Amino acid sequence: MTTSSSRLLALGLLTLCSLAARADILSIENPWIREAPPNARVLAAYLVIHNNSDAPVAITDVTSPAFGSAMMHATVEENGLSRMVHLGRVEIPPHGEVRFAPGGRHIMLFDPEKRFRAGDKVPLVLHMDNGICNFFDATVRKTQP
Amino acid sequence: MIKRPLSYRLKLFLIAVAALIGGYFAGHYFARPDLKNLSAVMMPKPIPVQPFELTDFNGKRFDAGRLKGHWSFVFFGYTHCPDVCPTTLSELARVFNRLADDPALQQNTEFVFVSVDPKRDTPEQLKTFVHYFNPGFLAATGDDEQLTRFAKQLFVVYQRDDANGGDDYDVAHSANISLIDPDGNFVAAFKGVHDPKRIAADFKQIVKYWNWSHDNFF
Ligand SMILES: [Cu+2]
Repeated sequence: MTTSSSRLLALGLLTLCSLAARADILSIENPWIREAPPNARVLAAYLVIHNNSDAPVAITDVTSPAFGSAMMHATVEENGLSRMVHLGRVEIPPHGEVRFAPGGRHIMLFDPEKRFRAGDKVPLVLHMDNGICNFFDATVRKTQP
Repeated sequence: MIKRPLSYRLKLFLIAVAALIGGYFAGHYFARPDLKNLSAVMMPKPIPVQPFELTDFNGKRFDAGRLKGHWSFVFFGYTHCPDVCPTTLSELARVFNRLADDPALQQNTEFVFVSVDPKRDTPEQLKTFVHYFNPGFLAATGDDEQLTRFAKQLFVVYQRDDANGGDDYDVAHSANISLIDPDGNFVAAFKGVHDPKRIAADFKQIVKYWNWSHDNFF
């Protein structure tokens, strides 16, 4: 078992995530984190989440052992002002997908444990409303894949 | 040889001169670069930037005069912004790279990040942040009165949610990139999701047009 996955397992146990059938429900496409300036305290992760099941699924939380905290956000534009709003719940319809991309939905990551550089893999956990978690690594990159 | 009256020759000469002059201007008129199919929003006419006073990360005054003599891309944001600001700055860095085929223009174009979060964005913080994207980028900030004075001229608004005093707050801000010409006029804005390739292409087109109108009218 790699260090990263044992850490994830520990985190999963800590957060009472069920590891059962975790790979079946969601599939994660191109998870990446934008490499940030050395003094950045907040980073953003992007990905596409597919729901492979016949039932709707909702993501209710995001965590990462590599960051102080994490949450789902959306950048929305109103009257020429771009602001970030917190998303407490993101629904994915059966066999549908939800896209997190620059200028739109993103996973906000606060207080990185160290400076991440392009090529690094960072563990993230999506928590679903059915109590199941999805564990994956996001790759740090300079530009959108 | 038949001798023609001088006035007839003079007429011919004048017609020829008129044709030459007309042709010269018509040629210029038809060589006029167009501004069609731009993703940039052109201002109906150039808007001279009125006085404002900020400070750049070297402690130097950054005012309307600093916008003259070169092209400027101006973007407002803050360094605690993880999505829109790093995305836009990395796009602007790619716009800069795309100007490499016109080194004179690349040299004559400044990229300025204006922080609307002067409390957390110290000069040192700003310098490290923008230099990560390109070591030639500039950043400036100032008090709200001066920030607003500059921003509103570029149709940029911002709103800092720091009323409860803490150090953890977001700043809502316009995501437009403003383009300022070497006379210090606001000429175009790039809105919405930015594509570096289109911005660079639009910019070159705008510069061509600008050079053309300066050659012909000034
Ligand atoms: Cu955010």
